[in-house]
Amino acid sequence: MRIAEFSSDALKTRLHTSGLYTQTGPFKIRIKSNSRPFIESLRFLYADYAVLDRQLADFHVALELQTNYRRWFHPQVLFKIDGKSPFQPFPNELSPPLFEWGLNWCIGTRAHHYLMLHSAVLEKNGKALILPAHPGSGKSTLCAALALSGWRLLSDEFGLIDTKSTCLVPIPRPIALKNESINVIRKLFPQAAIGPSFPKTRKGTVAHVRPSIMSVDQMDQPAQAAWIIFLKYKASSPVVLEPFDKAQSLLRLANNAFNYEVLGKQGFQLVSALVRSCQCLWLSYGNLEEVIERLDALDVTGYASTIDVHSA
Amino acid sequence: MIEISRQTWKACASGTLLWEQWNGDYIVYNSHSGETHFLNELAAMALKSLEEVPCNAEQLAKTMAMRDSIAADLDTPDMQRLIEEFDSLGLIEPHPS
Repeated sequence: MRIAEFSSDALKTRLHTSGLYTQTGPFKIRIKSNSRPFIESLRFLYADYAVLDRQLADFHVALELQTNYRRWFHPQVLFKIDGKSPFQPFPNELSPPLFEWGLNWCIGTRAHHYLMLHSAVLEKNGKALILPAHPGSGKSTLCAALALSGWRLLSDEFGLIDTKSTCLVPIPRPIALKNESINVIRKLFPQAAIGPSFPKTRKGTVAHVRPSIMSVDQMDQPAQAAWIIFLKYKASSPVVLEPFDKAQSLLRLANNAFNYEVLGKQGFQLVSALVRSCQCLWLSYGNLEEVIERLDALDVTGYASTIDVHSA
Repeated sequence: MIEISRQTWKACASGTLLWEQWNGDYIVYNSHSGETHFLNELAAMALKSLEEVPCNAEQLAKTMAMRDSIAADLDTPDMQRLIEEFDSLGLIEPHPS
């Protein structure tokens, strides 16, 4: 059964009572909530996710409406993980982005059995593309554009590297678009399933793109990294795609990882192995259609399909 | 004017430093500090030399000069500065001479 198969009322009842069990990539999540904006958003953005039977969950997440006097004129919602609330309450209408940020926090602070790159990851023909995040890079915009052009979304936020196989582990979740990029994607992909816009968040206006059913259904299929692409969006700039220095790539990727220091020597070995085995590229672009065409044509024939972590 | 010390230095214990190299650019990971450093070819050569044999600034300048023609232009004060930088990064430690 998928989440979309619930009626609104049935989903509301489930989230109010025993909670909903679902899974994103390797993480099983139990969700409880009485926040209406969140429930509606969950039904739309997570429509294709499987509903699991009651079982042990990695994260017990709740979005709870606060019952203090504010509820009459400015209702607030609290994000809880395993019964504890790591953040201050948010306005109830921001419960959908709060869920996404909260779940990112849970993964980023706990999943140290993976190397976690702060990157978007997409896959085509069995080869994964890593787009490390840097301010102003346009990572999520390009990620959404590729995901809506036939690439499989592994993640918009986490490049999860399996420490044994060095494969990228999918964790497909809604892609968070910000500010101008929301209309850019709406215009270029009118068929895209994009949720409502949330203005005045700490990151400006935010809206989420629903992952494709293909990405959701293949969330148990890891992919081998083939390209690491450092990117920069420049308005009206032509597409420039060129080799990028490997030593600089290693430093950038190490700085970009959420838990490089936590993993110590293993973190260095994993990042080093990734850089050695991948084609490292620099991309600057100003036009999404052009850049999609260039990335669709990437050819990695001859690049190693396995990575030796331990020779570093 | 930099003061030349006769202190002998050695790189951190065997297996502490992990290396990666591309086109004359070196990355060294120090598993004691958890820090990753970018080194150019000469600095990498000096640190590798201190991994092989403990020495002071004067001895390091001589070793480097024998190994590389560009390094021959570097004198003992240059090596002293490099040693101080390695020390501040925790890449080397004093060695009883």
